[in-house]
Amino acid sequence: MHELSIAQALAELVRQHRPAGVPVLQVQVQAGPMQAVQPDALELAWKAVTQGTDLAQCRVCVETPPWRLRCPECGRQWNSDELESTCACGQSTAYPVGGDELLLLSMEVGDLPAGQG
Amino acid sequence: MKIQIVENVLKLNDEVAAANRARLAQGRVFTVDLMGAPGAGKTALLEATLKRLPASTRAAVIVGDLATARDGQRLQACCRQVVQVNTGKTCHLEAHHVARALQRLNLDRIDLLIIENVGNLICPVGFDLGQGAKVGLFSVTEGDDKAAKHPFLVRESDLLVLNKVDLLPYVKFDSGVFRRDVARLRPHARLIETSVTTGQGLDLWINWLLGCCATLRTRGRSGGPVAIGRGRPRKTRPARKDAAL
Repeated sequence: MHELSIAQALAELVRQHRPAGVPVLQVQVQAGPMQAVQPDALELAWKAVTQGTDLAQCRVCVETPPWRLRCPECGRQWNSDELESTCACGQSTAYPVGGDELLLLSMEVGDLPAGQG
Repeated sequence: MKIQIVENVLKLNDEVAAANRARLAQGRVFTVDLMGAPGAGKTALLEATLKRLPASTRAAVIVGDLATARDGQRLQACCRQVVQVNTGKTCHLEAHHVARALQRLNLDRIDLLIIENVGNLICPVGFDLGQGAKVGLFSVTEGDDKAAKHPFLVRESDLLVLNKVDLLPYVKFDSGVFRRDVARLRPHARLIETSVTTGQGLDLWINWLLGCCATLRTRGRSGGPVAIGRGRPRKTRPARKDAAL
């Protein structure tokens, strides 16, 4: 359940980046398949760590790109939902390329509350 | 309004890890992060290692567990400097745990620091602690599919250890399958087979540790980079959505 630690780290990072005074409505995260992050678990952990805080209204949206595989024989690269996938050339020893990213991509912020502009 | 950021979520952990790495490099301490499943034999391997290390290599251990000081107590019998960290709800060590533990160690009197992570094959992998090298420990009783099921650990480990090989005649474990999976995920991975019970492979493992310590000392003297393994910054480029199929 590393999602709880990730949610805590994410909340700290969001607070570092948010413009002062404006509400953060949504944050977009990308978790590569190496990270083994369950979007549902991260969303639940996010609710738990932001409950009752300045980020309570903020949703987390988790993007999980597929595996990027490379065939050692012919060099072809392709995307796959499964780590074990056979290349069109027949080789079944494709290895993953990248996939270890865990990124805060962007945040959606609202307007300044009236009178604070 | 949408604000583009693209930053590593674990950036704050990585900053603490970088400070740990700098402190350890300054003290000429080679540091290993030992990761493996509960029951894989991490503590037993460390006990055997600490008993066999030459007196000239002064070792210390930071040991992480959710609860209890049992592993720390076991290791104190073979090591003068042991710090037990109880993580409570956290299923892995983070850089701040190590930073606090380092305050309790005399780094001037250490050549080798081994961090025994919390028993877990998944969660510890992404958290940089400031180590010089990561070691992934598997054991034959876990089954021969564990490398394939834990690709991040295999790919991030500078060395893999397969433990309890004395039990191979008694368990269903195909070494060929395990090695093929490791080779697919990390083509030039170094793999050492060990048994704490028979002593098999312990010399290889200890020589690897001593070699890393020696490299650190030599590089440190020549003014070159002192971190061994992957003290590299994490990549902060998002995966391409439009990658050609």
